[in-house]
Amino acid sequence: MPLKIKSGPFKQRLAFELNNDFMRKAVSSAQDGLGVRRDIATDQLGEWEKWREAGQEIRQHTVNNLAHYLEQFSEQATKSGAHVFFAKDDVEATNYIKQIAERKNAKKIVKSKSMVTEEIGLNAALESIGCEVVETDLGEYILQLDDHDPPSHVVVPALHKKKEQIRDVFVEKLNYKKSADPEELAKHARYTLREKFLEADLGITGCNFGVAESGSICLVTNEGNARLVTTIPKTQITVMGMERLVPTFEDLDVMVSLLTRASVGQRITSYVTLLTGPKKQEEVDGPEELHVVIVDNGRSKILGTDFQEILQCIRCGACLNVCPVYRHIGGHAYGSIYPGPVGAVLTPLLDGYEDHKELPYASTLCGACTDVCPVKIPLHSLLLKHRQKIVETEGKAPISERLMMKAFGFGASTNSVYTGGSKMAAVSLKILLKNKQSISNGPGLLKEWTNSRDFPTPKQSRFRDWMKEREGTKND
Amino acid sequence: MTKLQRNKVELPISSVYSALETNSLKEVFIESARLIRADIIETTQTNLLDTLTELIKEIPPEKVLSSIERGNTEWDAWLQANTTTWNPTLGSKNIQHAEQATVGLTYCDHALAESGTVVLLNENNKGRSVSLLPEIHVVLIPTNSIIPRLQKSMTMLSERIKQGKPIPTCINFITGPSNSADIESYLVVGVHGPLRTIYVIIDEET
Amino acid sequence: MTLRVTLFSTCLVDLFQPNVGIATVELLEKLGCEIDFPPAQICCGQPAYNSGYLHEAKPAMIHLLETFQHAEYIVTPSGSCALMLKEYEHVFQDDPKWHAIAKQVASKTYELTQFIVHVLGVTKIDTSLSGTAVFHTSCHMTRLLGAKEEPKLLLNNVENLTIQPLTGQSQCCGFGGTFSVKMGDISAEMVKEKVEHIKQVSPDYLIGADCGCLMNIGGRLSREQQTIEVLHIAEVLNQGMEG
Repeated sequence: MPLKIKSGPFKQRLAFELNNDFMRKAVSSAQDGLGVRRDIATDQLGEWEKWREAGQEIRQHTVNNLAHYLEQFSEQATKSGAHVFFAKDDVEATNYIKQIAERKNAKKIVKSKSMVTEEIGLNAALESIGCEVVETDLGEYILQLDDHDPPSHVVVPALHKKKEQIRDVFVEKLNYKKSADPEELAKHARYTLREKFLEADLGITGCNFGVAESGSICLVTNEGNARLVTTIPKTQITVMGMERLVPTFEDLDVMVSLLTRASVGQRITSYVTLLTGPKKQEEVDGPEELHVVIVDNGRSKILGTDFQEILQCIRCGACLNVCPVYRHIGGHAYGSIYPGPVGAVLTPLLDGYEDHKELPYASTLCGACTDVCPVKIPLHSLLLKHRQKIVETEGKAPISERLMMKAFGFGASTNSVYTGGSKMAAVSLKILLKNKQSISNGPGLLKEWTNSRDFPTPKQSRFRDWMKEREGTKND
Repeated sequence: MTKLQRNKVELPISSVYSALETNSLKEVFIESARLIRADIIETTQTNLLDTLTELIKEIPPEKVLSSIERGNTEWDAWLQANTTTWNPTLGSKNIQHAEQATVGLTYCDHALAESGTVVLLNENNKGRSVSLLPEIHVVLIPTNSIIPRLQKSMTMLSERIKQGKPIPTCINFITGPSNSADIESYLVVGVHGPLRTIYVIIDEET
Repeated sequence: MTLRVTLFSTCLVDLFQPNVGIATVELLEKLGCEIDFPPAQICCGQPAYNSGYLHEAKPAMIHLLETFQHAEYIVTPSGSCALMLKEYEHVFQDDPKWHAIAKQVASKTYELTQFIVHVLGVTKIDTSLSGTAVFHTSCHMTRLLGAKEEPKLLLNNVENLTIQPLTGQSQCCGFGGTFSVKMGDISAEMVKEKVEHIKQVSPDYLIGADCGCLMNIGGRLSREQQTIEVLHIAEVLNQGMEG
């Protein structure tokens, strides 16, 4: 599916998701568990802050010199026998991949998890030419079987699904006859997917990191499906976002050490796989033909702007795991393949503000995301920058709010206006008190507060009045 | 390709090095390996073949696939009698063997103490499938091949590149059995890759 | 030597929590400071700035810079307002005149507990409050301003007060300024969870260092008719101290 996953207004999606008790419980529980494991793993490494600085330097340097490293990566990958294709956008990328599938007469395709392939709508494009595309990552497999339910997290895509729901999907689609026990479900997935791996003509993967000095593809996984996808089929296509490079293997050490700890609290995942070129002639397994499709799709437009730092992202999902807003609204509410803080920054950049102008406001700017990011992206500052753009350059702020802020501008800079305003507020809001100490049912915007909280009344005698009186008494 | 100016940040030292002040590489490796649910067997070079024989005694040779390079006559004889070897001349039949095998037997090129990881360089025709398709992956780890952490592994690869030497088409850093927490965040051990990983740690004799 | 402290009370204190301003003044005076209160002060501009209204926020910021540029020490009982004042440097980076003044103001701005601990050098204040309390760590003050340890240090030295561990202590309460009304539904869920965590330990007091957070959490506690008393740290430290 392409970048946007849900249509309809933000508030509508929000209302729906806030009512999803299971999802909220699952997300809170996952956040809490992952938080503990992340802390243990980062403590184990020691001096986590210094590692973050190292990670920031690597990714910042790479993004600052992206053209150089893309050229190096491309040269080296080509030398190793891979075909490298630069795709300007989703259409170019999917057309290139469809051509390979047609040329190879590849009808059975297996895929490992890749956010960028979802961004470009790859599965639908391949299905339109008669290919069977099977997602092999357990979470993505479940979602695909369940009528293409979109992912709700960048690392744990089926977080919003109950095991009973998963069992029902397996019963309906896979002739499953056992229980909702996760081990039995996983066993059945292993069994059904093993056949798919062995029969596949074409394997498609994403790319956690491209190593520029060797043109290598690095995959960081736990399940083993990415290894199978790159071992059995005769043709392999790896799709990579153009910013996902590191200069050298030494840099890769730092990035892998940061990624696995920040993402899932592991010192390293079960499999870190480095692939350089297709298989040698005398080798038996591995692809005979390897293509690397490097996707732009709006990323190059971000270079040189105030938002460039978002390109440092390594898709670890740590920001989702600490976000107090994501905790309650879940991934689908963001309406994008990329949810959470990173999604709120990235989505308007790739897909415009029109459909996504609420996302940067779905945040208290608490900074938890900035604090946890292993490559020190100032996420909360980028959200604020979006707000500034939405108001000033894009002109997409609601009119009533603009008027209120204009009034604020006067009231907060002109003493007479402030004094008049505060006295008026004290008097008018007093009407809402109705013999109580605080307001429980406010008008207009105040209603958003009083729906769930009491609101204090502005005092008749403000602090400054007390100070003035005190100064007066002092001077007597 | 010109090298660019960089202000590299000096890397902090991982705490594994403090652990290594009081424990051997082998001890630290074993502790890490336990955490990631690998099964651990300790043996010596002398006893190695006996240990392996015991380990696979219930499994017929056609279900034990090995990608170990032939070495001395004793090894060759044992492999011949007890395993099926990955044989490039058989082409894709090897993949069938791997799929039908219960055990995949490999050496590792080196191992990482910090994370309990074994590093397999799939060169000299060792076959990617051997450590992947069978249900059980048995990996032989000489204690003198254990290094502290990932850094040195990566530096060695960088060195090869700088010297213009090709690196293998496939390198795997394997840490225990496959797993997933995709269903209600419940950790399931054994998904698409091996369900069990057995580390056979071999002490070299003095 | 008596330090002359220029107090920035903040608009929330001025309009809704004058008691916090009073406690701040009395506390600082008891600690030997002289208080200067420029009556021209209004608001740091956060409500507009954090909503993306840079143009509308600037007049408020300039007014504040004019009001405070003479000060030796600017102290405010709000971590988020102290942070905003320090942000002015960045806001006016393209304006040579105001940038210079903003830089100067930033260097002499302190949140209250930061000032007490680092400038006055005081960690134990002779005060007592009997009972149990939980402390909510405000996000802007801790993560962004960096004042993490100062309030805890001061509270731990209050006689007879037991600070209880709070689940999700550093999790945002859902205030976020205009977020609390712009995204009221999400804000409500966040503050409800915060209150659930507080109720788990049934403290006598909820203590915080930022009025926005306290109004938010206090508002929910009141709605749930909880008898937990909400106090700003200035009020706690000012308790029972001899003047």
